[in-house]
Amino acid sequence: MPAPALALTQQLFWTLITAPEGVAAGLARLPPAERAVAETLVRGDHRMSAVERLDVYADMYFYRIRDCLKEDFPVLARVVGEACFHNLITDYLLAHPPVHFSLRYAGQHLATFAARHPLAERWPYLSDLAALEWAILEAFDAADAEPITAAALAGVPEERWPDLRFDVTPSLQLLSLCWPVHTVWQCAQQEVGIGQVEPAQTFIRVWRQDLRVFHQAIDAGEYTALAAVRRGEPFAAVCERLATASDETANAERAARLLQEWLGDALLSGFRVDT
Amino acid sequence: MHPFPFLGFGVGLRPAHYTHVLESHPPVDWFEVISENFMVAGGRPLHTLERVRARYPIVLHGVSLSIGSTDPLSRDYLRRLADLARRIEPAWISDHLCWTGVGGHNAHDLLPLPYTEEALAHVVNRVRQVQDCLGRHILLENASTYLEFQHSVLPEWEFLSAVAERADCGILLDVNNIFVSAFNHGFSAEAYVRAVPKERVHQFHLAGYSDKGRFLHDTHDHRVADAVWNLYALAVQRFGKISTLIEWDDRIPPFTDLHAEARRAQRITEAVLDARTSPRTHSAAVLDADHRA
Repeated sequence: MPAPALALTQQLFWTLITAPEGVAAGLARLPPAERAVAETLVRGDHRMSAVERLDVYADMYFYRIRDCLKEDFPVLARVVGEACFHNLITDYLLAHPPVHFSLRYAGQHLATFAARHPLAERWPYLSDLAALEWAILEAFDAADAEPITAAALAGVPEERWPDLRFDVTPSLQLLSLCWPVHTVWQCAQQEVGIGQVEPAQTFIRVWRQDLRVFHQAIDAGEYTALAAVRRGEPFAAVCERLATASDETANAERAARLLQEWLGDALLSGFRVDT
Repeated sequence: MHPFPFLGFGVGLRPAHYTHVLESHPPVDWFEVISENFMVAGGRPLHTLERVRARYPIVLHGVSLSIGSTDPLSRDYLRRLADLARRIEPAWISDHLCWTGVGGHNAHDLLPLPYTEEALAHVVNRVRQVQDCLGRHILLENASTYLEFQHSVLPEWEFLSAVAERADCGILLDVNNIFVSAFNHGFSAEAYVRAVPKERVHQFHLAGYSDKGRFLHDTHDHRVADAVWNLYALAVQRFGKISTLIEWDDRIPPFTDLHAEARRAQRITEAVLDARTSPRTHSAAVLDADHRA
């Protein structure tokens, strides 16, 4: 048999080390022509067969990524436990083998995937929890931006405030979820039992300030207003959205109060007044 | 070739030691970091690296170049690596003689190549492209391997040497990886060290392995084994004073323990080089003395 080309060698190698039930089973499932090549690909010896040597790579592939995802989704891993997390990641890697050059992105589809995984029947908030942990990761290494201060805004004439538009810090993540997973996250941090979690519309903002990542549950009004700010809408429109979303009449005062909070939390990194 | 100055004896910089390094400024000669961990937009990783860089030489050591893959080279990866290099000004950039994925996928592992003329030509061509793109020579490291391909026609050291010579790149000789692969495949680690072209080697790696019984596993979670120190002494005898780096990635010890390994490498290097000029001393005695130190 002629030596297999490098491209075929790598394709077969990849197929075998990513076979979920192990290299031997992966080999057995190959079409006959490919199997014939694959069976003679690797040297075995008295210590380890060819399949056992490929299994070393199969194990390294799975366990390295599983361990990375365990670090990236520590609360989710804790909630479902060792065995279920192992099975979740086995299924996840079949659907979403890593495509990015950095392990940092290995979990980028986990929230979407978890929503339709059988484990979601037992833990219906699994996808939302994954979304929160992914947002924390996104905020961790998002681009830097110098925050603006209240003093910087002092020079804006009062009549121009309705036209004021802001830039939000690149680390800001806004989540609209069906479960209060921030409480699950807090329980895990405090190492107390999670207990029964009831569904509830939940809005969370995640951001980085002074290199530390924070998250906070917010109400529908703040979520809507902050989303409008991020879209670059003028402050007048932000106030209107705030009033609609939170059914408040004193929306100007609320908007001013929120603006102070956003400035204090370093959520805003620039402003401009369109002329 | 781009200059590869002697940096001394360094350690891999890992998050567990960020605070200690930033606050205590330990007297380490240099640090090596995993390039991909810092190819991000911002935040603590880059902030930390820039602060460390202000005090120490840094080498960027990659794990995802995938120089041996039959997938196209990732221009996005190279652009981001070049951006990081402009920002950090590393002493040099290195990666591994391996492939990490195919079909657009990434195993995040250092996968072995068949040592064939086809693979050699393929890798040489890609190293040249990478060096053109980065505007500098790179170092390629021998990875630990756990299997050999039936259709390999060259021993690993000949393949590595041929890549370096034909592509005009340098070699990061991982002494522990030589030891691990030699055990796993039954070849002579000493023959490997003696065969690699002297003028191409610009850095050594040292790390600890795990003994799995039937094979050795390059786990970077132990001290450097005595047998690997002996091989290191042989490498110093052959290659001279070469920048040396201790890798420790799992079950990471206190920084002082890690630094002690770098100091041990320094003592061995100095003793071996002294022995070269002193006819009454030989390397075995040097190593015995080192054990007692």
